Amino acid sequence: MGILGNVLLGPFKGLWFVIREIHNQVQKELYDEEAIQKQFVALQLEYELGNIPEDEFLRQEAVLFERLNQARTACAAANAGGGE
Amino acid sequence: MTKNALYLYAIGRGDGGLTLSGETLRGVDTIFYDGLAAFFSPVSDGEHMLSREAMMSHQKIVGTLWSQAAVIPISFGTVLRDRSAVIKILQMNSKQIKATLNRLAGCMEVGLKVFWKKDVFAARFGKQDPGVAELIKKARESGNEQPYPLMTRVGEMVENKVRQARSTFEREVHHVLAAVAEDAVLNDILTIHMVCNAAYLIRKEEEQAFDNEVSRLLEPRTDEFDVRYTGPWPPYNFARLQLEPPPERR
Repeated sequence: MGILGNVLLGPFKGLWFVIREIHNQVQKELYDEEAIQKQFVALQLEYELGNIPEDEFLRQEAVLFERLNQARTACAAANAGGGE
Repeated sequence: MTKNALYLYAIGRGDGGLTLSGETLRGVDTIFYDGLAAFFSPVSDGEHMLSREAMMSHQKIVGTLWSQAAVIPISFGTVLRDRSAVIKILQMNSKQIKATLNRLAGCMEVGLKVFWKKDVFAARFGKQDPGVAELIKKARESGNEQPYPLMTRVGEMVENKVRQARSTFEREVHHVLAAVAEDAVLNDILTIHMVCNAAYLIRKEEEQAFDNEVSRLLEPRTDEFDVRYTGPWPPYNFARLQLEPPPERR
């Protein structure tokens, strides 16, 4: 692509970069095991401190378990696809 | 479906006097290798879903094993492909595992989480602090003119004061406790009101003496702090091994 193409598409490339970064961050937050485990600890603490009721704690914990299982499944699929 | 995969709970000594009896340890099996023992349950490939029930069961089993002898607790949810994967881990990390088991023998973990009481925190670091009050006043007086940079400065000022107060607490309390413990770690601060998030490895026979030291240091500060002193726990914070190769999870 020539200089003109770069100039014309420049703003969109920048925007695409931002969107991609946000997407990566969201994916990391959602499916990164370490990030999920930190959220478990933080949630447990909120419950222990009495900042959230038990039913809300259990609801949020179930969501985190679901995400942890999804992360494991995605990781196993990636390992299977990418070889050892 | 055959159960070739292994859900791992802990690693201990093969001659460590551990017996797998009782309801809690029903279904737990052992692989022995070179004086070491890996405690596991057979699971089908991809069968083991992580849930609250699974986590409670994991903690209970690790706790029961640890109550009998020193073990290295394995992280919740660790599943290995088959027996050969477990043996490979024991084989490649034998020296490191044995050294860790020696270090943990006869020890227990206790946890200490300390928080500022909310009203104390507000009084000490909020509007009642002269520096903070002055900046807030300036921000209000300036109306819409540059309130954001001023409020940012307020945030930075509070953050610095909180950081300094945490350092003082570490010096006056944590370091004193760490000096009488076998080992100590400071974990991440989890909330703005948290002063200290520590774990200590202590000898079992020193438990009472350590409890007394915690009381001596913290009872005079209960007007200021909420204290959560917990344990005994299996030594999760002191058995973090960098195993080679890393456990392969399913």
